Amino acid sequence: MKKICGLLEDYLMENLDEKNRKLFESHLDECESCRKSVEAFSKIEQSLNSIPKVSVPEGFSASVMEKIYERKEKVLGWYVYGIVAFLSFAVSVVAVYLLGFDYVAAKVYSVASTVYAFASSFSVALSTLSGSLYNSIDFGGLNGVVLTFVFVMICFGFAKSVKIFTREVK
Amino acid sequence: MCDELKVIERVLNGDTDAFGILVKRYEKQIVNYVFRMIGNYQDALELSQEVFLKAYLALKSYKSEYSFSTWLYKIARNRTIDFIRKKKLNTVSIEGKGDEDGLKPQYEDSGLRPDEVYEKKRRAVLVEKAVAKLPEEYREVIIMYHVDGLKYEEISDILGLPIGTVKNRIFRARKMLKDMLEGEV
Ligand SMILES: [Zn+2]
Repeated sequence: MKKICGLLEDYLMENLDEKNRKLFESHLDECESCRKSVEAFSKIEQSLNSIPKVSVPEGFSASVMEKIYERKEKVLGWYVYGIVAFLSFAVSVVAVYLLGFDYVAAKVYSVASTVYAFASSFSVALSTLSGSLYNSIDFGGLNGVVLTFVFVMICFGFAKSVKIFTREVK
Repeated sequence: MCDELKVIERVLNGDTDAFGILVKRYEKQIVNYVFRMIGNYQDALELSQEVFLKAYLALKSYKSEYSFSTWLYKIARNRTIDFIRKKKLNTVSIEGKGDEDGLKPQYEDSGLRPDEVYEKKRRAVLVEKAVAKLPEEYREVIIMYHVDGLKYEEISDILGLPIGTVKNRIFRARKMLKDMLEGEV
């Protein structure tokens, strides 16, 4: 083991300058131990360089872009919600300020009662309809089942419509 | 490089589609890096998509002091290490057991003659297995250098380590592989 053998690691790490590299390379001709090491490492390097690469599926970038657009849509959706919420808040503050609390409260009450009147007339219509349904068909115990079914369908339709309007883009 | 900055500027100015150019340019490297780090092709594809999405969302914070590729690799590396921690994978199994139903990786055509293929395949399988057994910090430098073909400087920027340390780490990883594969390749 000569002193120059100590350069082996630096040679393999490509740390030697031009002069020392040439010196070490000529040393390889006469030192079997260093030569064997260098050969072993170059074999490893070759094998590492030939590790096969996996290919990327055709639609990869397209689905990345799709994800990006979905995200943008979602963010836009939240902006819209935010703006609507802010505007309605601002309008109500301005309204209370300009028109006075009692006036606005009365207005809100009248709108609410209109909505309530509409809802109750709807429920009256519904109960009349189901009542006449109940009376016109005489299936005995089945009527209860039919009514329940109709009720569930209405609930289902309502839930569906809520889902459509509040659909979250993932 | 220069036109890359132009593409980034276009994206930042609202031309979202231009980001596709960057995805196409780096998808192969990123997918290969992630795949060799975690060992599962399907997970690697999903994770790589997340990496690009994250890069898009964070693009405003990209500073051109590093190359875009370096910045992208940093994101990929963080995400991959996160994934490994969560799955508590210490070593990877290429086409591992337990995910037979998963998507099988498609390899690129090596362009070899049939008589070369067998021997090379045998060696490649041994080397792949050995690489998968390396500790994470050695595995990543070997993948970056030998699979993705990055330069020492780029790896040093990605890892935030001096070049000397990177060279040393690659050397020690090769040494471990040499010991593992003694007489087999
Ligand atoms: Zn020697």
